[in-house]
Amino acid sequence: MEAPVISPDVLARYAGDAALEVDGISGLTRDAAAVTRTGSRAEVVVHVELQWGARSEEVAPQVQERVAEYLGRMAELEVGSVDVVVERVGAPPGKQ
Amino acid sequence: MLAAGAAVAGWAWFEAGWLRRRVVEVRLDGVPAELDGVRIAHLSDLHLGVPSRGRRAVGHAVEWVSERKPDLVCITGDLISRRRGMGDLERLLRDLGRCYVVLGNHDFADSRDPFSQRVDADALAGLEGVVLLTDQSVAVDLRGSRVQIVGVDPRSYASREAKPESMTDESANLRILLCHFPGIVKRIPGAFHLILAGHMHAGQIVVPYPGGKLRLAHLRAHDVEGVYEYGSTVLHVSPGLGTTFLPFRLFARPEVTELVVRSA
Repeated sequence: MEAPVISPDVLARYAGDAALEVDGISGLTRDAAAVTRTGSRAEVVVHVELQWGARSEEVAPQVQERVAEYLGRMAELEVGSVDVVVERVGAPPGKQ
Repeated sequence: MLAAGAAVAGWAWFEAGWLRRRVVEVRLDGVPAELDGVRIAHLSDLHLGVPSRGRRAVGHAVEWVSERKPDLVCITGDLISRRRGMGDLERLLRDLGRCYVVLGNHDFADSRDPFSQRVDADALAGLEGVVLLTDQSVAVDLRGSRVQIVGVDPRSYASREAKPESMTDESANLRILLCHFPGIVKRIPGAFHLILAGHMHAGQIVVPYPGGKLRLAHLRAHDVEGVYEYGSTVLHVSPGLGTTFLPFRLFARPEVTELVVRSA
């Protein structure tokens, strides 16, 4: 069966929500997420804020995995790539 | 000519079972942020009990909804066309789990179809998980917020006795009205945040022509499918899943919809 009809805005929200579930991600930045879809394939870019002390090389693959899994389940899209852009690092504890 | 006609009929028979699954955001004025992201599955016009590929669309729709586990499942009438669809309906409703249901004109055999038969409303209301609303209101707790669901009975709609606006609970953060007929929106502007309706089948058999579409099931109707805004009320008209009269759909695919609430 063809994938469900879901607007790019909603797909982007799915991607953002999934990224936020990963430990080490403290937020999305202004650009948040964007999903480009061709048929049942999707390319994703998420702009995130990394938690203070988290290591991007450990967190980013988890974001990629979580986003691909979530878009696969909720939108039945095959995710080709997930670019994780770390735009900033959150404030250290005690200095907020 | 005959071959072309047969080809169109063949296609329309196929299209009746060709389900579209859609996710739509609805921006609701005055709904608090806690309810942002609430997902509501909307199914309508199942018309069980007649031979139609619409049954296939219904089966796939129920499967999709069960997988997604939305916060609320609502069905806006015309559950059966013939009494023999009752057993099938009961099985499908069991798969859906808790759902809020109103009846339609076909459920009371009030239609142009001379063989139409009534639904067994008592059997339906007795099913576990089914909340049948016949001019009734129910309150649900979602994420610590109060959500009110009111359902209109098609008979009192027809006799113009339905007064759902008199049942509104102002303390509810989200008020939803279920009514088989989309025309209800004009009688009660602003009383509910969201109204879910069916009945139109998106025209069911639609003849496109330059500059427009002729919707044969409801020739003069507007608000035939999708999301419409009436002031602070959002109306969603489901294209429905089944077929009436003829087991065909043309340019009017069956649809199951998931509405995602956005607080505004």
